[in-house]
Amino acid sequence: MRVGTAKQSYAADEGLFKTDTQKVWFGLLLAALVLFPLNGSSYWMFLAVLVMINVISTTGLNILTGYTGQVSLGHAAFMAVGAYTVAFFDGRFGTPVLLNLVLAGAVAAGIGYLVGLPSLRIKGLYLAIATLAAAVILGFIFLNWTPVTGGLRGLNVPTATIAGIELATPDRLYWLVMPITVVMVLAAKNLFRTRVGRAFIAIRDRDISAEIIGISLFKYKLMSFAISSFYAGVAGGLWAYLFRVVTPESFPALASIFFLAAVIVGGAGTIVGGIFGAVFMTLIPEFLKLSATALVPWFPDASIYLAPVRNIIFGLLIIGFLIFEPMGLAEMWRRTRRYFALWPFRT
Amino acid sequence: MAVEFIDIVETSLAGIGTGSLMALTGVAFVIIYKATKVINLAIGEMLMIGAFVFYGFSAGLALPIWASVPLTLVVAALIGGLIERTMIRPLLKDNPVSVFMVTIGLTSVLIGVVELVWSAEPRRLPEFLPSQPVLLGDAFIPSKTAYSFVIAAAAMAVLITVFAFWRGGIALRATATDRAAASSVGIDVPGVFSFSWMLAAVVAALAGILVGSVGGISSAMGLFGLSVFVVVIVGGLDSILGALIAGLFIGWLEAMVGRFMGGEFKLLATFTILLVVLVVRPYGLFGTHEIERL
Amino acid sequence: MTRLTRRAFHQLGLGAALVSTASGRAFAQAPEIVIGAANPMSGVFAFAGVEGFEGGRDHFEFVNRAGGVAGRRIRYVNEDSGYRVDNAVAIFTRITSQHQTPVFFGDSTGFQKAINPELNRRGTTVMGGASFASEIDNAQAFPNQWIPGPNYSDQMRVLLRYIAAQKKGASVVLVHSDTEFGRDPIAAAEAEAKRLELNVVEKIVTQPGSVDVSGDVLKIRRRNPDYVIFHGYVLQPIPEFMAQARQAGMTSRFMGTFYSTDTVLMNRAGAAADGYMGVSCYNFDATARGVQVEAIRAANVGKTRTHAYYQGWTNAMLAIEVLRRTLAANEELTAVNMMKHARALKNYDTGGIFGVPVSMVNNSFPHGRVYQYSAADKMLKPASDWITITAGA
Repeated sequence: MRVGTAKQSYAADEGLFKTDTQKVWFGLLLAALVLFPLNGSSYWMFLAVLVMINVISTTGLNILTGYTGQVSLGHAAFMAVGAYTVAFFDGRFGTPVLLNLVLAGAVAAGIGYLVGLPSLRIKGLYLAIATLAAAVILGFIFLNWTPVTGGLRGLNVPTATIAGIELATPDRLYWLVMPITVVMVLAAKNLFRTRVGRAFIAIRDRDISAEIIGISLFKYKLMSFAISSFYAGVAGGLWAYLFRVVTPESFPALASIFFLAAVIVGGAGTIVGGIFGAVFMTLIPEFLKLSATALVPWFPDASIYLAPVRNIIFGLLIIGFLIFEPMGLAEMWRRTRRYFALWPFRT
Repeated sequence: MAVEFIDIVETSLAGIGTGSLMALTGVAFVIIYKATKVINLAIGEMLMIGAFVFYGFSAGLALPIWASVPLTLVVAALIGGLIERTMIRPLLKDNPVSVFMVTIGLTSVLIGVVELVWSAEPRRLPEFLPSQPVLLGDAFIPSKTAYSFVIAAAAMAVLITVFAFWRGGIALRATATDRAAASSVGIDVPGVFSFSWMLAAVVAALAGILVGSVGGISSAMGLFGLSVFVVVIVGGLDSILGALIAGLFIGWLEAMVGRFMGGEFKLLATFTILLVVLVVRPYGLFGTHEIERL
Repeated sequence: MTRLTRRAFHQLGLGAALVSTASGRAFAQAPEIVIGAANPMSGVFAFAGVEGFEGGRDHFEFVNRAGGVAGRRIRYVNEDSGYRVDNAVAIFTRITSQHQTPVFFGDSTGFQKAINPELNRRGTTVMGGASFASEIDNAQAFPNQWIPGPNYSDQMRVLLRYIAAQKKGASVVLVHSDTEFGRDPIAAAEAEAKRLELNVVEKIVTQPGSVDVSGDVLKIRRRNPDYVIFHGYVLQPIPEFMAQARQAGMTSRFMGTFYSTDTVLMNRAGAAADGYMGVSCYNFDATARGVQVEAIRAANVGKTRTHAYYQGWTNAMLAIEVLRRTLAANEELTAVNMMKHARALKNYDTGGIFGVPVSMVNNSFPHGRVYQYSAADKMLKPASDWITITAGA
């Protein structure tokens, strides 16, 4: 049993890992990620890669919505920007994979910066609707700027190749996506130990007060938009390498809502919440599919109801978490941890 | 290509016809916003479920129109009340962003329910509007456009009268102006919340029946709600008059853009206007400019 | 409630559907051949997905009953894609990682494009599918896929050639949705109309999910063209268009491509769809002769089968033919070998499914015929002869 953690310096109090236990757990998590491919099923590898791409993107939206309090309904459009950037540069110039991904993030960040501009004048839900408008306009550009985006047919993406190794299958792509995910999630965690991250949180909690204590709302809101879009862009770029085709219909408006739901269900304003949310929301359709298969002997029609039931459960999860557990899965996780940290005593 | 004058007139009339339906749906949105300050992203889906309930009564159970319409409106009111009590009320004291996201979840639930009961296939409503086209001078107006315009206009006249004279309508306006004051003069504020959602659901269902009779119904018809957002933002979130004028204007604009530039530019045009209005005049043309205080 | 109920699902199971449980004893020893599929059993394309799945299933049953392919049973494994690319890719990955899958049926243009590099990389699976996209009809870019009929551009050409034969210099309006599906054949159709000296007086683009057609009807009314061709719709909003156009006193004839020519959906639209003309490559004639059409009739007594069912059947039939030829030549079931035999299909007798012997050109079978829907008889009636599209003719 651990009684408490005495901190003797501010640095320790602000540390990335506050206790040795956390370090051990993190080590175990890394080991699990490295050992995961041993399961040998390329289907599981595909799911794992998809989950990690969604983790990156959800973490990005979490920075904007969960930490800075700016709701975005256009997150998927930034992913699309990243995917198109990768398709364009890799397809046209054959530039190296890592450079493409950085470019994908940078271009998305630039556009995110532009989309964030109205946040100077409008905020809250008006801003959310402005991001929706931006997503519609981006969709129009994807469809009609044919020389760059390939128009309605979209672009094909070459296989990701690093040091002569073709990352054609999810099994191999995993080794590209997994380290990037770990790095980006840790970077996000670190962001909130800095002045910038604290400014974001201050803006979320009370923007007027934040401004009064000297935080430039304009600068930090735009920075939050840019960082969030950077994450979306990188995720979109990896998505492009996984599916190897990008069309205007690859990232529908519904996808933006998916990420928003992942943030809410996971827990807005915590990094681990973004991870939980992305994993949970990506895997839940798979789980529903399995349970429907199991029900077939009793309800032969189970499968036909799968899609509508998926929609209903998706919506009910959003509503249910907002009403009953607004801090999301992360809060449940925290309570569980707390329980065991103090076990056998009760709080 | 020379643009004929009669062409412009006809396109404008058709656009205003569609615009009247947007205006009606916009009014439903405004009723909810005025009373509960909730931005209801699911307004398009509330319209959709109204249309499907009507389909269930009129085509599924084969009831006559004069019975189906009132039954639909009653069911819609119940659905509206249910949504308010179970999903909105628990969160009204929280920040508006949470409630907003609840309505996003509601979107998905309503689509799921419709697909569960009626499947995702597109359907047509039984014909109940006269099919004789209307001629206004030389200008030709498709019958459904004309009659749905008349019905929408009548419904709006009723609503405006209700707000102006009926006790319930006045209570709603009082609550919108100042909740605490309304409560202290004996207005049942939670009752007004429920009432506003029920009324909005009824109005949306009526709009759904009209929209469905013009273009058929499907689980994707909630997309109509996208144009309605533009309408209410342009008009001002809390202004019935704004929704009316902006509705007619956006309907007209979409028709003109569709006619003279092509259908692919419709959404682009309306959303560009939306962005401009948001940046230049965020509270809309007729909305109340809220001043934020600490 | 819907017609998706569904003998299908009793056998379907959610994911893994074991087709044909009967008649299995003869070939207990020979290994099964697994054919995979991602069909949209739910969502907007469910009407086609369910029919397409059943068409394939019925054909494999028919084949297994007759002894299978070279003594090997066919096992058909289908999962619901919900018409979403990422789902379909996941299904493809799962099925191919569990079974050796020489043939896989795709559900959409988006999926078939997305999976194409993977197909080419694997070199062990060939694909037929629900997409008739002109882009996929390209033997260089899509070496391992086929289209079970004419591509969308060729469907347009069939319609336009029919029009040209009916009336010289007829005026035509093209109405299409603003989606990849909707835009696909428009450029080709314009070129063909120009060649045939038809007059395309207007092109109308509709927004996806758009419900109000009255503005577009006005646009057409001013032109009052001889023909209006729809592409990129699932029936809606075509009956509404036709009804309003009639009210407006127009005399135009209305036409459309494969997916908007669905007997069951038209039956539901009733009188509004009367007189609508659609192109198809399949033989809906109730008196058609041939092994395959007779097998279809035997499997569906008293039932109306739609376009998508024939398409599923045709894909299955082509798959079986390719497997049979490859195994008969004693070759391994690789994509290269299978496609070599697929491309060797010349003047192939489809057992009455197509009205004429077919040949694979590029990746497709460019034959078609115009049908007209009769609301009184609730069926599609042939309106033209079989038309074969050949390059430059």
